Amino acid sequence: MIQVKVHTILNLKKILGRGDIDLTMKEGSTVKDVLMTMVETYGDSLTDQLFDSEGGLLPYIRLMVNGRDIVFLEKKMETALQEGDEVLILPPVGGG
Amino acid sequence: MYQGGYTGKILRINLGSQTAKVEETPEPMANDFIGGAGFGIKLLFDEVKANTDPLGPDNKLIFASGPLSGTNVPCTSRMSVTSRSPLTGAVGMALSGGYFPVELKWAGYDAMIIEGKSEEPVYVSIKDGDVKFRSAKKLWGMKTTDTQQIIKNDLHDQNVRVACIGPAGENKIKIASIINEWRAVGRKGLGAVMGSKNLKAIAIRGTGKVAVADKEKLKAARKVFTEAMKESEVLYPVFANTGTPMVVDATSAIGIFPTRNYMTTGEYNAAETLGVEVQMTRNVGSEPCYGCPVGCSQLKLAKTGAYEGILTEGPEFETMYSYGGVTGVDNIDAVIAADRLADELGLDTISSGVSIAFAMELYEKGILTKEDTGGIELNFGNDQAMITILKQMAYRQGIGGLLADGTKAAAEKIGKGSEKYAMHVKGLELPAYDVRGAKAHGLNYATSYTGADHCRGYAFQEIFGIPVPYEVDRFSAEGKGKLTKWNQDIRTATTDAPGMCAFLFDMAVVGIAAQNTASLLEAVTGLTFTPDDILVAGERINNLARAFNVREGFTRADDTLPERILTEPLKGGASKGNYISRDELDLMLDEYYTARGWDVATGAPSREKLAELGIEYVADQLN
Ligand code: SF4
Repeated sequence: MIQVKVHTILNLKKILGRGDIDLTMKEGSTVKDVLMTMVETYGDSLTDQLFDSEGGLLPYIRLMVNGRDIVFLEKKMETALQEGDEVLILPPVGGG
Repeated sequence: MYQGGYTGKILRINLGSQTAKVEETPEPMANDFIGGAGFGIKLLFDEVKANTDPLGPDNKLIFASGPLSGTNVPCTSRMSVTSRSPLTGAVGMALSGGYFPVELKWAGYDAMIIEGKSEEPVYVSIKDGDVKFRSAKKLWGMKTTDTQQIIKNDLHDQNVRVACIGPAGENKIKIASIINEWRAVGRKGLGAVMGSKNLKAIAIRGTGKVAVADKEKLKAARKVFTEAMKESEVLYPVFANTGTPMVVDATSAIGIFPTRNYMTTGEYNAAETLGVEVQMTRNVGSEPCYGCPVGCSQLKLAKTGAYEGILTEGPEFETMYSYGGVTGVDNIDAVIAADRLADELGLDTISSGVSIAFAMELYEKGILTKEDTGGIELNFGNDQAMITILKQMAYRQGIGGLLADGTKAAAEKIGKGSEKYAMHVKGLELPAYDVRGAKAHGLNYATSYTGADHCRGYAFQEIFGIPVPYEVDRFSAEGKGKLTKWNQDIRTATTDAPGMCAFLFDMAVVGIAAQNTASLLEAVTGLTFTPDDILVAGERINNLARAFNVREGFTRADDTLPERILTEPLKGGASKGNYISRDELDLMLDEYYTARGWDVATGAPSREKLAELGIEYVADQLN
């Protein structure tokens, strides 16, 4: 098993009740597995914020592993996580 | 000829002779430079000669609203103020919202050029064509809210809109702002230029209208724009409620919210004490700019300790950084109080906070001692010290006096290797992004014509992950030259020049920005604009601004970043290990100048590029 940290902000943080969550996952678990675990735990309110009606990740949700956008990781959602990795799930933001 | 949008008039005010005259807004200028910052930079380049003392009578101060300002297009009450900056010596251009920008248009002017110097403190009142010079002797020394109120009383008009300076501007503090209503033309020391002219305030009221060339066309263009606003996942659902402070949470999450003079960025989560949740507990209402259905602008009330009862508009994200993160202050009420105080004194919140943070680091390193600070224990997080020094700054007293002209000037006076802790580019203090984790944003700081300025070529791809025009890896240096050129040109042309709130760019029209601007401008002005014309206008404005700086002696060597950004990797958080090495900066600069068609060795625009943009006359002045 590996320990993974999940960090989120704003409306997603509200749904989870806190910004940081520690998850214990099977070795070889991916970013997608983390999302699925989260959705199982937090139910529809989280699902609605992350996925469209066909189950696709909403285009404006930004996912990062250790600060790197998953679009720049070779396996994207299938990226396997390592012990201590931090997954960021960011809702759409703006206004700097 | 334009048939709407432009009033067709520019008001030239000479403070020395106390005269005002009206000139025509030239159509070629409208076509090529759109308005707002475009007009400001064009007039500055043409009228302010090289080596003009920024605080001398020959410098000019140019207020210009955009062609969309004063029409019924939402979120377009925007004006630029342009001058040679006393802080940087480069182009000083800053924008503000509120109501003043539309009053300028309704009074009948696209722009207002202020020149000369009054012998005595003066303020100018404008009601349509009636321009009067009035004594400001009794206003001299007054803070900005009182100044605005007394002028309204004097003019027997509570609806007049006032742009004024506080004591900081009067004392020619090089980080002084201009305040209009609750809003600020914050950066680059433009308040000091006003002070150097003995100009306390401009009061304006307009009773006219801005003509629209094609109302039907405008209806259609406006619909596309407002639909994009409605479809945004952020604008109404989040931003309208939280305003800019949500960016504290967002930048903290990705490890780029600067803390303690950039020594500890990413090492702790500043959003816990300064983020949206805490901020919302202080929210008491909003104060939108004219014609804005979003109303991001928040009023906040301090609730604890010595600060209890202080109300301010803001603090915006940038101020949460400058009086919070970068100074290590974690007391939201202190940030609210400091924000109010800075606006009352007429100080730029960013530059003043970063200058105090700089002194805090020097104090903790022993480079400044208690003797230098006049007994103040200037450690990070000391909010009372911050407030004391802010006051001192406006009057050039004590340690505040040493810091009053920003970090560059302070480091020159202090010596002892302090420059490497001074977080500025070209003398302008860094805004709220630790660009070690956002490299295009860093390149923008290095190359923006105003110095370290987040508003010019904001790299929203890196900060918010918006994939327009494509997805961008924030840690990579490659490809950032081209991207930064695009970011600078599109933002100039779609927000700074036409007079559109920049938040609408990021959060509503980002994917259709050039087309959106072209459609709105065509409908309003009756001139022809394609999306390409819009981008080229942005490029032209950026080239002319660059040419102004080159004429003042700026070269590639000035397009750099603070030493800490170039040498110290971030030690914690989601951007840990990253920095912009000198090699990376060089690579990005080479790419940037090449994309711009500028000389790679000097960073100067080439004659060919200037000719291509229709401003070859500029090249004759660059040798
Ligand atoms: S979104 Fe905010 S800054 Fe922009 S026009 Fe509206 S109130 Fe003003």
